Amino acid sequence: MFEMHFHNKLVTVGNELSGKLIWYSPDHPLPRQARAFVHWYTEGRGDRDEQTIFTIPLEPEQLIRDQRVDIPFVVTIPHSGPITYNGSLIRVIWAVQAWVKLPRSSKRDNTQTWPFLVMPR
Amino acid sequence: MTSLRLDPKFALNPYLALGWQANPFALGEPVMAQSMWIDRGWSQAPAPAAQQLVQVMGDRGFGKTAHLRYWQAQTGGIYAYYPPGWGRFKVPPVQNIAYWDEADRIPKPLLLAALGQTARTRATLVAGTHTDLSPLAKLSGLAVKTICLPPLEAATLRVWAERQIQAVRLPAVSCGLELLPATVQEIAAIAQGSWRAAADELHIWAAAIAHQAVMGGRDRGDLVG
Repeated sequence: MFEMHFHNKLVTVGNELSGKLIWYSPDHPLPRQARAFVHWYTEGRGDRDEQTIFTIPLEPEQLIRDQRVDIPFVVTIPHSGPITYNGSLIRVIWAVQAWVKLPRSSKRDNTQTWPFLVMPR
Repeated sequence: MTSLRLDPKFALNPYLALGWQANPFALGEPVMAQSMWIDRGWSQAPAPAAQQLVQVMGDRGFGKTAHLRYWQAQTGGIYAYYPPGWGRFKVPPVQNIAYWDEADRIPKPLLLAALGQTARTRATLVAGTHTDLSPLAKLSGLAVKTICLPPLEAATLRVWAERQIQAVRLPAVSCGLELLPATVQEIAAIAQGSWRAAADELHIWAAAIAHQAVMGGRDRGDLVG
């Protein structure tokens, strides 16, 4: 349903991540709810931690059937990070995530995730 | 100086180099845990509304919480966890069937009152505990069943680990990895019977193997091909 084009897939803390989310879905009905956001989360042993840094402005009315819709975004990654980390017990993963809810559906019908790297300065 | 040329997708997710979506031993959704269940002889949940205490005993990491959660998914009912510190000062819930985890941390006056209520309402209480609650439960008028979970064995760990690996395997991607019996034996020995410690060690093992695969190494027996 969505595609993602990052302008930079590797960003240092305090700098901007930019890209565009592209909607094109000729085969599905228009969603009644849609959300896209930039977040980080942990994965591994122990409780999951997560924080949404930026919500990409996105309304279902923007999405048009059979028509490609570009949704550009720019977000500044906080100086405090965290940075992307692949450790033995946990990982810290940064990603853009988008999901939609289709008509007559209460759950998220399509969740897509596009990871990117956050590095120290 | 060595120049490394890493595939960027492996920097984003090193487990892709093994044909995995993620580390198989990461903690996941409870739903996933249900499908990964290993029967150790107590898979059938206790009957609700039976005026009884079923106490599940075992050392830390032996699987008490896993059993309580597995049964709760079958029977419904409330689950209450008692943390160390002030968080343990909460009234234990009583329903047709209720699950109290780390029940030995419940302050005695609250415990006695809730056991009495369980008996009066002919409910079932399932408790994960490190100490024997049967004297207090019998005093309150409850029948008592005690389950003592045994320590983890290497053979069982291997079956579970293989299932975990299978669950994260990407379709149509060859894995090139074998979890060797010697590795499982070594991890089971380090874990000293604890599932939690074994899963931690397996997570570390998988992270190391993924790192090695990304770097192109082949010096551990677990990576083949």
